[in-house]
Amino acid sequence: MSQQPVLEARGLGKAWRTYPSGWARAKEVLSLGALQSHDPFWALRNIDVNLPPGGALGVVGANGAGKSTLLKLFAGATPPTEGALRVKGRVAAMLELGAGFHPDLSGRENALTTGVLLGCTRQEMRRKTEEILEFAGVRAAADTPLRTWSSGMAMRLGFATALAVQPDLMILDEVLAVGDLDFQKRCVDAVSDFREGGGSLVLVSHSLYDVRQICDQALWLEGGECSGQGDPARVTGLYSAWYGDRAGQGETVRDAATNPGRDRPRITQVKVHGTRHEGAMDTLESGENLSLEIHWENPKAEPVQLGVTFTRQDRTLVAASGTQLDGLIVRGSRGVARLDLPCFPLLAGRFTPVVHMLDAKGIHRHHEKPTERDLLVTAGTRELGLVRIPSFWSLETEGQGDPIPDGVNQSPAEAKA
Amino acid sequence: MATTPDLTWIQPPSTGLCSVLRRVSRAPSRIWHARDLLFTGLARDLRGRVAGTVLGPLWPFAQPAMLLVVYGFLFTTLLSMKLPGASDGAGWSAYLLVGTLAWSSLAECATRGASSLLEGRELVRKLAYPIELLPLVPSLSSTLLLGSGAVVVIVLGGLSGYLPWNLAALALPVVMLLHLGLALGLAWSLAGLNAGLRDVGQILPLLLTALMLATPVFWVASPEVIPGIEPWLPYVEASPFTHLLDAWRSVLCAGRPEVPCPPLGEALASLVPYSLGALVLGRIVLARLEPLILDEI
Repeated sequence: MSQQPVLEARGLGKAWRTYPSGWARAKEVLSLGALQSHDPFWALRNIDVNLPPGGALGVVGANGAGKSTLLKLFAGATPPTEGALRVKGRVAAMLELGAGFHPDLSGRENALTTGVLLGCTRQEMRRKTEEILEFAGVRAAADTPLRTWSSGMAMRLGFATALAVQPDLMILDEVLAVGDLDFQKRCVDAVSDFREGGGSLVLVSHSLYDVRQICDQALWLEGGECSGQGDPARVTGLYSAWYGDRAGQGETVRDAATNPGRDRPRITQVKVHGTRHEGAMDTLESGENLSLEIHWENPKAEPVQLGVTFTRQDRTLVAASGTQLDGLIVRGSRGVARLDLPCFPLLAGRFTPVVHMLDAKGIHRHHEKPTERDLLVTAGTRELGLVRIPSFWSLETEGQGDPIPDGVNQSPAEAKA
Repeated sequence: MATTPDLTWIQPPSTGLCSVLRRVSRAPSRIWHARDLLFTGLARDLRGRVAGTVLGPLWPFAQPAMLLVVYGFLFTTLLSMKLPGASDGAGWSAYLLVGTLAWSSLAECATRGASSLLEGRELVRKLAYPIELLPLVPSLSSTLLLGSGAVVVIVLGGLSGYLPWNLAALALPVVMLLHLGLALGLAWSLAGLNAGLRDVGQILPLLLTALMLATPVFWVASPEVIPGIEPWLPYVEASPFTHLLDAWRSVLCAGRPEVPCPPLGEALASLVPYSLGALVLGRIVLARLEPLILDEI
């Protein structure tokens, strides 16, 4: 099999048209474009992309950075103004779930027509309709007109239809966060399965977490130009750092994940050990031992992961630890997990520890629960920065005076003692 | 299937003569490749027309039948208007009935065609729907409905003796095809122009009314009926719409010799260049405006 890219773009750029006046527009239209009188408005410039088969590209950037324009170009909905791109195979673009639905037609008919719009033949879609209705969980309403459905049901049908098309390249614009928690989980699983089956993906998301977990390359757009490209962890990190707390908003707990239903996996209680309770905060001296006791319930006993993140006040993610990193999968319907953090390495600052409960793949977040109080870390030393890095100095000097070894390589706690 | 052929670079569109003509010449094969999409759109359009009604799929047949009864009653019983050389009003009412049916279908193609790109913008924007199909769907469905109406007229007209059966009716598919060509050409041009310049949609109803009055829908282009029309006859005869109505009347009203229309063969043959010309012209207009439309809607 050739490694011909599924999606390749070279020097891609797109300028939308703006007209100085209505008359200028009339002149251009009525002359059938012979008298060009528009001004170009560049939404995107100099974008190079090379997505191999099975790859997943995550596109991040602020609103108006050109993400949607890029997806439109990939989807073939609008031609480029400069540069060129090519796409191999069948593309299913989900720039908006349920685009193309007709309110008077039934769910079944809409699934069929939308599937054809996305590139299937009618015979293929007739075979797949039942499967789609099943996945979307709308079988009972399948033959009623779409206008009688809730918007959530329609979106679920849209997502299920697009998945059933089995494209070579799937383009998703902010659509992973539709439906209730249960459906979100199935969407994320379906996207993972799609990728494991060799499908390629382009994903625009404000959730840097999703981009890091799902994608294997990332593109950061800023003002229509590429500000960073490559490894998702590095690019999202750069983006996060660049935007400071603005970017952090994408990583804050989602409302749904803070309040799961009673039958969903959830964290019931988090106890913090090793700290002193002072005012509204738990305080801890940097270098002391910290441990968290996490009580959880999981009625359906599906395999899950636990994780803890430490976030600074400006929403910078400072450190994280997860069961999967230790090769553990949490099973059972209830239990207590204990996380020990000996010689806590964070330096002075105020941090929010958040306990996360995730699905077995670490993609879907079942529940996120911050500790009752923020963690205030104090440091008796003059060390600078967020975190103490393990470090060892050695000196070779010439001339008079010997270096004094006292205190070197000792933690502040030991030094004080 | 909407698969792009492998290894084709998508580049900035050119509106040069050669590339426009290339796109125009590829239109039939592009439409053929998108036939599943077209049938789906057509089925959706036809279902959408009657969705929520009690009679449902009977409406396309009920409407022309009702029109036939109304016209028949009005012009044979209430109004005593006769064509020259006719003993009763049946010929005149058949002339009007066929003219109205054909014209209203054409006007519908123009109106719905003009708004088709704007109405289907979500499909183009979000799903990269081929823009030439959007005006094609209403034109096709309207022509099919006109065809089914013509069948009703032929059957009921023959049964009631209002329009005696004639072999000319067998040319119905031919006149439908020519009608579709003219209607689609019109729909393509208007769709492109209206998507770029909304003012086109505003002026269109006025334009269509003026065209209807200037076309022999409700009058007969003959000095016997309208004295003093001679100086205008060359213009009336140059109009594609006159030829269209002539063709429809030649096919459907052949059983009533008093209905003024050219012989069948002549009527169809004279419509062919207009129909083909409209198709090519319409596709050129749309191809020229395509880059602008894809940026604007």
